[in-house]
Amino acid sequence: MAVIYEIKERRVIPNWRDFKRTLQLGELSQSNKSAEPIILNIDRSIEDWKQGKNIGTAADLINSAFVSGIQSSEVKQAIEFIKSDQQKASSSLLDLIKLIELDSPTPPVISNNSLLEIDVDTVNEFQSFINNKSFHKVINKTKNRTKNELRNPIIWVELARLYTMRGHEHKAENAILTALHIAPNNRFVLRSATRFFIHKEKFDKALFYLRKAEGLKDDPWLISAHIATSSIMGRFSPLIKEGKRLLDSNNFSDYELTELSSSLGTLEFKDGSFKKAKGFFEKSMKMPNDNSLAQLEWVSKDEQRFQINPFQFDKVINPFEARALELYERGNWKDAFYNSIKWFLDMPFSKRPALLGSYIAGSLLNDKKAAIILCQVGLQANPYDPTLLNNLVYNLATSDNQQMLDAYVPQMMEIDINGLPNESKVTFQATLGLVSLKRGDTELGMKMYKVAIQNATNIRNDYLKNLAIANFAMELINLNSPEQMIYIDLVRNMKIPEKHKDLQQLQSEILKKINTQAKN
Amino acid sequence: MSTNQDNAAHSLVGKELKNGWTVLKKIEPKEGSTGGFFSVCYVVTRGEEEAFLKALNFQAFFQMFRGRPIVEIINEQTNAYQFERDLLLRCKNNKLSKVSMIVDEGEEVLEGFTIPNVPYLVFEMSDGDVRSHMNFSKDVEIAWKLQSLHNVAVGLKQLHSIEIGHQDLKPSNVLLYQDGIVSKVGDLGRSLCAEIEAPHENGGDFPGDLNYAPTEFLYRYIDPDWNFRVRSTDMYLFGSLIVFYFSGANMTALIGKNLDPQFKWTHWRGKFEGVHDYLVDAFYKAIKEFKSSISDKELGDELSKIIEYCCFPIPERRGHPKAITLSLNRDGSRNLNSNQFDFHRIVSKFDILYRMANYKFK
Repeated sequence: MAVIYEIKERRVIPNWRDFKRTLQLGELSQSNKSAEPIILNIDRSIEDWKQGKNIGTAADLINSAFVSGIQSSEVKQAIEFIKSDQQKASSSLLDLIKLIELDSPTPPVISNNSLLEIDVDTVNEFQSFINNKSFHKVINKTKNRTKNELRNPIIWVELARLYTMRGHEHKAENAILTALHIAPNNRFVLRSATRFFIHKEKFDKALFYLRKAEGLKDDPWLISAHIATSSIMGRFSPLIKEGKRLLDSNNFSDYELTELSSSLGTLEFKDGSFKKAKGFFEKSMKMPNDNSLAQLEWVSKDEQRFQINPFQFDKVINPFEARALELYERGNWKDAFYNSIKWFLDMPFSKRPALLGSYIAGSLLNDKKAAIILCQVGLQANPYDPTLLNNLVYNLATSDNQQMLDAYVPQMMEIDINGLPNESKVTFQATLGLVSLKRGDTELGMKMYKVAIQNATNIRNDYLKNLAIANFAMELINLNSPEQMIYIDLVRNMKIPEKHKDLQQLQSEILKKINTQAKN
Repeated sequence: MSTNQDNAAHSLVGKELKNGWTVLKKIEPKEGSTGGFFSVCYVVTRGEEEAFLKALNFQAFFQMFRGRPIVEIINEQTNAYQFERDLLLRCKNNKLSKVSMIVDEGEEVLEGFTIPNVPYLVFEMSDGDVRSHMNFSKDVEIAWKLQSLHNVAVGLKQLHSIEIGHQDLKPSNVLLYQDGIVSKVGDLGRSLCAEIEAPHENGGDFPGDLNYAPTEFLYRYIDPDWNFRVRSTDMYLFGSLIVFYFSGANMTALIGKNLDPQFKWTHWRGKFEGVHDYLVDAFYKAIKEFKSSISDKELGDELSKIIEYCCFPIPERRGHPKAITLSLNRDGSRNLNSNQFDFHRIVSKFDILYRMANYKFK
């Protein structure tokens, strides 16, 4: 059976996007002011232009105007002069003119709260996005840029991200270490590295590089990352106090403090202090980003006293995680799936959106093709992830794709089931049961399903138990097995909590199927 | 009485000066030339020799700095004049071939004026500055551009050899001679010298035109090491001049163009270190853009390599890559005798490039 892998405790780990989008989201801005910008003047260039009008003096004045940000009637004259004889101008000079004429930089156009490298409308488009050949070209191009731009940490981070999306862990780590070597104090590099090391469960390394960074104590974005990483490791960050100091300092905007407030709120929430947590979360929601919004959405699922409707925060860019979780909770499978896809496109190395999306597609929307694609894509970045592999095999088995099933089942069998968490063991056993049934080994299949149900009972996980029973019942009906009535009764008598709308749907599908069969 | 009527510096036409120069005419603003705010320029002759005279205009000081004590102004401007004269004489004594040379200097006293003294400098006559010769379209006058840049590199190398850093190298300060065939570095008014203290040496602030300045100065970063700062600045300015010759934009503008506005010097309010990495990213984009302004790939690659080490936005990383590692002592301190900012490699490279271009592009 397929499952949504949900993290037990979500932390405010930095989201990792390409540099351009990170800039556009304002996560690299700095309002901690230590100096006034320099004042320039262009009098000398204006004087020269007045004395002799030619393309050289015009270019000189345009350069000065652009560098200084100063406009004047003489600058306009110089612009007209160059425009009147463009053959003598270069494209750079004409570009400078355009920028001067714009006067102020154009803010990025962000429609529907969506800022993605590439957007898709259909699953086929999604599939072509992750097309091997074109992706390989992007990696090669970026690799070539690193060769030409050896001292550019940004491009090394971009390469690391691309490698991570492809599941090339060692290459990605080398690239991220190079970036850290060049720019050990850069916020973009450090936050990207933190996410990378956490993705690879190398928490110590994440903390090591954060701790080494100069200016860590004055950067709310980095303190938040440090607190969150320490929390994953079950430690208390020594920077909690500094973080609280920054919150009270009035030196930062609400947006700059949103993740830090959210991290501190999560700590208090974990400690059971609802009141303190509420204060921090309220602060984090003054101007949230996608991460702090998703954090409160996640917390609200755990603690009813936190109420949040992510759709009310219509200024948050890329709120896909929060929306996907909320829509899933509401049982709006189609929109939840759509937001999972967007969430994955935003963070194409993360397995959580792939798991949620594939589960919704395969188990709730009955779109096996989409589920299979999402699992495959998720596996590219996380090649050995047992849950993704499990979900892929489940979707292949239920779509009777024998050829692909034969390719992936051996991979699944290679996983050491004893090393998995108990919940995953249950899922694995149920899926292997399904595969055996599909392959005609009814005895083994039924045995595996029963073991899964028993283990779910043993670990007192009613959700997994009911899910395994429902899946088993569905297969027994398909096989027209004499045992089906036992499990149909179990399904009929299931008491499913309101929050498990997926199980409710499965239950209703099974009962509908029996009724249809009975009528026939 | 109008300003010019009581201005000795404006009243030299027709005069024969003490050291034999006859003032022919005032040079009205001429295409491509830079008169400067504080000087009046004339054409002068002595026998068959024709030259350019720059007279110090005291009156302009009072116009420019109204409200400041007169003693302070006179002192400041006199020091500036003396400094430039001393530097020019130093260049003359060392026979620098690619620096616009002083031919003579002196002081004339014209009776009947409020300020009768007119100190002056006489320079060899140029054909104007390089801007009047510019065409930024692709593949135009490549050989000439390379030759001119070679001359400028030689000029800077010569200046450095006598402990002078130009500090204000920009298109208007590259002067043309012999119908544009020879280029020389001009205007040492904002230069710095290791052995002569400059009146404008203001705690290490950039003395030249800030619109051409290396980016670190725009973020108020001043390297504490005089020698390092002065040489790395000249190297940046030279690289920026290469960019201007071929693209019409200087490197500072190109970096600014490729930099997100929030990090640009006109907006940034943090420290220089905080913007390092974004400058580097923008710098590489600028180099890519520069390359696209040259059709010949080989030439584009060669020039880009030179620009990359001349204009790297972090001063510690600027300079010839082989010399950067050499510039550190074993304890990590800076080796001041290194040739990180030496122009000899650049001179050799431009020598080859312009000779090749003579065959390739002519």
